[in-house]
Amino acid sequence: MNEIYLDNATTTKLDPQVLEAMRPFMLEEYAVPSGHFGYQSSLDAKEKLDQARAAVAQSINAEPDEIIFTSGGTEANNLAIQGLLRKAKGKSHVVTTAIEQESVLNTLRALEKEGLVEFTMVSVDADGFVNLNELKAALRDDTVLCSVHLVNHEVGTIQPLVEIGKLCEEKGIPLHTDAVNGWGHVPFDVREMNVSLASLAAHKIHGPKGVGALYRRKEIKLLPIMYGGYNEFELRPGIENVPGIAGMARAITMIEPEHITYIHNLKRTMWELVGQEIPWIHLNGSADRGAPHILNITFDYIEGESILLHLDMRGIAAATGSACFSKALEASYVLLAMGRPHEQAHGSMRFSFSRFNTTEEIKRTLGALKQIVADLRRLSPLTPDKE
Amino acid sequence: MALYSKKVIEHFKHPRNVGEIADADAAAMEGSPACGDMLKITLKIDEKTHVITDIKFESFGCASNIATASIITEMAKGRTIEEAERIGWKQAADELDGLPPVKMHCAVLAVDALKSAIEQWKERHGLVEKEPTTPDKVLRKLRNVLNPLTGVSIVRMQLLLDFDVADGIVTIDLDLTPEHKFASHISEEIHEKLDHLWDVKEVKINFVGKPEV
Repeated sequence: MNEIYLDNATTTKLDPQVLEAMRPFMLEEYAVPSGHFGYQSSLDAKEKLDQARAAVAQSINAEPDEIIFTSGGTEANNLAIQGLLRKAKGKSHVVTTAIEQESVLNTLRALEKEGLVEFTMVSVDADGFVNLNELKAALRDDTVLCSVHLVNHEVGTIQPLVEIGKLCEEKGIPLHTDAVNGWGHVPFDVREMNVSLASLAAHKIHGPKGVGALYRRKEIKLLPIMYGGYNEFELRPGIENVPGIAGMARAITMIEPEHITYIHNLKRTMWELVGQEIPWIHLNGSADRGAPHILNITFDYIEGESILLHLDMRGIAAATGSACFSKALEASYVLLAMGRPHEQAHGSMRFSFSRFNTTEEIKRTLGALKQIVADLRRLSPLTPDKE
Repeated sequence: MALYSKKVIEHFKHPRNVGEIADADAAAMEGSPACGDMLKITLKIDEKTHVITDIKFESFGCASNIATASIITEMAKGRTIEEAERIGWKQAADELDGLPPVKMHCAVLAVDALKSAIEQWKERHGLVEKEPTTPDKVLRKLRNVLNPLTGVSIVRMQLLLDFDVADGIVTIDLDLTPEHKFASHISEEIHEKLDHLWDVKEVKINFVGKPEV
């Protein structure tokens, strides 16, 4: 087990208070929620489910009946995209970006093969921001959906959703946003941003795995992607994951502004220390409009899998965009889309923080990193000015 | 880390024979940072016995790149070049108690680097048949010079505008500016491939690319 966990953009530790909020629904209040004609336990469960739905809705300025609970962010993205395109019938046009998470891009690719969609991928700039002019030009009269994430999962860039929402509104095109990596970390208001569909996941904010939600504005018509009972506004069959949903609600409501400041300070400390102690580095992402918890750095002349393994041997968990670490031997498509050359993608490391990390951990990581980077650079034929 | 054998991890943590031999008798660079794999091997070879008396490596690469390079140096040291040439990539991988299939190319790279260093030494010592340096041969050599940005040969990238072989002088025109980030790296690679050929007196590289506006 890793002593120091700096991979919180992948998943987070369950907060013990969240576990406490979930526990009764597994041991005592385990009845299936039921609307009107159930016995007492099922009516109680329904009430708790509604409370959780309201809490999740409130966190994004939505109405409770706009929240559809799912098994996570991937299902929410699938329900939004597949649900809308299958309802639309025929071949539809969708606009998205080159750096969306795989559950958006691969869903579109699969539907493209089925002949249900033609999609345009808008490029991003060197900091990972969507090119707004290109996006504006890509929105056609027959475009049925625009899908742009809130925060990029690899580099943490926060997309200008207010502007994007306006562009979509002008054209009357619904905007879907994969908010999985921003929800609970950066401001997200579906009304202000004119978002019609949004995907959320609990496990990125110290909630349980296996639960998420799709926010859907009422006028947006979807087809379910699974069939069964009539749960979740007839869009998502199956018995509700009440413990998970209760945990998700607890996880989002317990986030305080101080948590975000604290996490942001950890990121700032790490970046400052790396800048002071290690030469030949680049920030991947935006210096001033990046998520508070994601720091992506390229270390020149060396490769990320080697850095990752050496950190792992010292008990530290982090992520890399190197091809050597990917199953397909492909470097991070996000970094390549941002115009980084392959070798800079290979040398990239992502450190992501949570409120459970400490400054002491950051300092220990820096100590290890300094040594590892120096050792690997001594080994590298590309390092200049070797003694 | 579960994918790697204990021996791979051991060589990754403590690579043997790291560095560059200053007065090397032969040197070879294989791969490119664009591919995420790059290896440089330098050798000292006893002229009489053909024994590899010293070998060192440098690597830009993942754990298996470092581990395969390390094991290859151990396998080759103290052997004659004729023995060392017969080391296969599978043998190198076996010596490490196996590599994940997706990492096998690292063993190929390590073996190739060793072979091309030896090949170079043999050419310089007239041990391989003296074939005259024809334009064909120059082109063949240049196909192994990669643009480190892309990992693709400078020939395929159409960076090679023109070349000429006359009276032992090879002239090469590249579509790169002298200020290009990798101009010196590419020219170093070309010299490494051609300078030692027995009938080549000089290699002239002209950077004739137009500067970007």
